Amino acid sequence: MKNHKFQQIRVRINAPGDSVRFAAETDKLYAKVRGVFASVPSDQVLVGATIGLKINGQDVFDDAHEVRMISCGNQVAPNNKFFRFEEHIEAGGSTVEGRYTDPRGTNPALYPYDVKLYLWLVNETHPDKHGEKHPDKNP
Amino acid sequence: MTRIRYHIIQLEVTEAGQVVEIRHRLPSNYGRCTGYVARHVKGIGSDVDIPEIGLVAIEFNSRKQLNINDLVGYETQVDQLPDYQELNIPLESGQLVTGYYLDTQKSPDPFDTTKEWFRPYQVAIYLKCEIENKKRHVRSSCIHSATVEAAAN
Repeated sequence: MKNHKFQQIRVRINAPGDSVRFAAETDKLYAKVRGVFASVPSDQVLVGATIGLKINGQDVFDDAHEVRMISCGNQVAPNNKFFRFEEHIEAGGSTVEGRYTDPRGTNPALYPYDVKLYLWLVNETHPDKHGEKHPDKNP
Repeated sequence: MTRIRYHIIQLEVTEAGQVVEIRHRLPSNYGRCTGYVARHVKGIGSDVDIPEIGLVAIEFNSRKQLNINDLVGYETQVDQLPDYQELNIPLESGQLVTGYYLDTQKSPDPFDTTKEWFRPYQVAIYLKCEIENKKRHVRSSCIHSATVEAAAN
């Protein structure tokens, strides 16, 4: 079985200022959530957007956490795009709940749009087990 | 239970040159602050990056430790994931995080003496904190029985 999976959660934002709750479940075949990455279609809706996240009933981010803190540009290498969790966050069919709040953008042409939240699911328990190094700790 | 919390202190800047006081009590179960980053959230609408929009100074444990002096800039686009400044500050329970944010923006037009160019904006300070492991509470009945047993012996 593969050791990695990138699970996508889509959240539809219909109007400026929408605050949308979302819920999902992580793939049962993977043990741990290693990281998260948020993708939005335009930088204009990224500024001021916030996201709260709970995995397996545990607070990961408060509702006021900026989406920008878990997002980056296209020039970043794929595996370095993810905000990595430093502690063990249980996957294996855990519930993922959250709230995405749109920043009340000024350009109505951008709506509706989809926010894509990617969870990086892995099976190995230690990040260095397969020779991978945490980008922050071991540049 | 997760041990890391990203605590957010939000500041509103409504006037040019304003000093915004920071006076914030962290939850008492936070044992250590291990990271810091400050960012412009929303409000400024410049088309170009601004290296400095303000200065921030933060003290921990009710002014006992001055640990952070930093510049806050403005980025038009998000390029990289944020890097947290590494800290290692033991937090005393119930103490305050204090300090100030000073707006240092300059008018785009050097001859413009009015402050009409200024737009209110928000800055967020993220503190990465570790939750302290709670000490185990021993029930009084257990203490009592242990004491009685010890006395009997």
